[in-house]
Amino acid sequence: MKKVLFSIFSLISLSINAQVFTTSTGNVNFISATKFEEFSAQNNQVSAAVSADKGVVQFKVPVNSFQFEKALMQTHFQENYMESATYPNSTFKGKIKDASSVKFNTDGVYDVVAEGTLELHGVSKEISVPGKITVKGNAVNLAANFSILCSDYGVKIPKNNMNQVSNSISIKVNCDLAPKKKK
Amino acid sequence: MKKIIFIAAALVLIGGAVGYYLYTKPSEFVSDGDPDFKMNLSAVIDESNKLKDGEFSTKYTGKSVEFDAEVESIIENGRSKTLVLKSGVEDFVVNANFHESNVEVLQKIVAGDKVKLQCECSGVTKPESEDDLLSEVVLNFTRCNLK
Repeated sequence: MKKVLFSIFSLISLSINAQVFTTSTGNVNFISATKFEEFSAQNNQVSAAVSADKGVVQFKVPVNSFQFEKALMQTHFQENYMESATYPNSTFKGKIKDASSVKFNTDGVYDVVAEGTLELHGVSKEISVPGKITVKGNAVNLAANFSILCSDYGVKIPKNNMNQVSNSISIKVNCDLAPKKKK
Repeated sequence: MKKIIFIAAALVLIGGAVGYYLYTKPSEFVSDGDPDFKMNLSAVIDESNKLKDGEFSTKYTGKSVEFDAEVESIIENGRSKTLVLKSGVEDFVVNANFHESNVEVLQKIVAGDKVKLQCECSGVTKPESEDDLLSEVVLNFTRCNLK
């Protein structure tokens, strides 16, 4: 009886660890703040995934899904700064450092660091991002706050706009993931 | 001479006012008016599969589309809401996001409802490889409104 129970428990653990959690409605917000102006944009159409057994994490952010309060900013962001017609998505692919410390079958809040490649505006850079993984029942939340420099990714801020647009952009990630539906 | 100065000053003022209006003009968060396309959702899905990514983007991204759909589920995104629509295609997701200023229209909408929407197409994302964790094709709409 003990052997049967152990086998069942092991199979369940294995299946949870092989689990991939995904979403296509994750949130990414960013803020630009200078002495003269502060503005933000929201994106509610971020695709994200985390693999419980491999500790792999992936994000895909459709650039055209960012929404600004001001129409002109939206246009400039898409057409001039991010050139979304050429680079429609920004992506992050990486791994959770010390992924085994995250127990996807146990409710809890886990401090993690994700290391990987951020591709933005056609430029790829290796970055390390601290964040939190919150496990509650069958749901996983990925959250992170970090900053990037526009200049690192070839996003040019015209001299005329340097008082309004910061080179340093604060990014906030908040994605609620669910188990990927199996075929 | 005075006339010239007056006209120049008036032009500067008018130019400044127009510039200020354009700079501060708020975004339109709800797609309304005449849509650029009226079609079945299945036709949009077909086009996203057939056309190359750049071609689909050129044709539909940033354009308003009116279409009929069936609601699969409703997701709260912060203060906005997203209707996940039935695509009829495996591994193909359709998301229609309603801005927080327009979520009240969804009060009576439940999964299974058939709806007519007008939205702005914000594009399609596809898996980059066979082993991509993000293995679904996602067709995104924003600034959605019920018609």
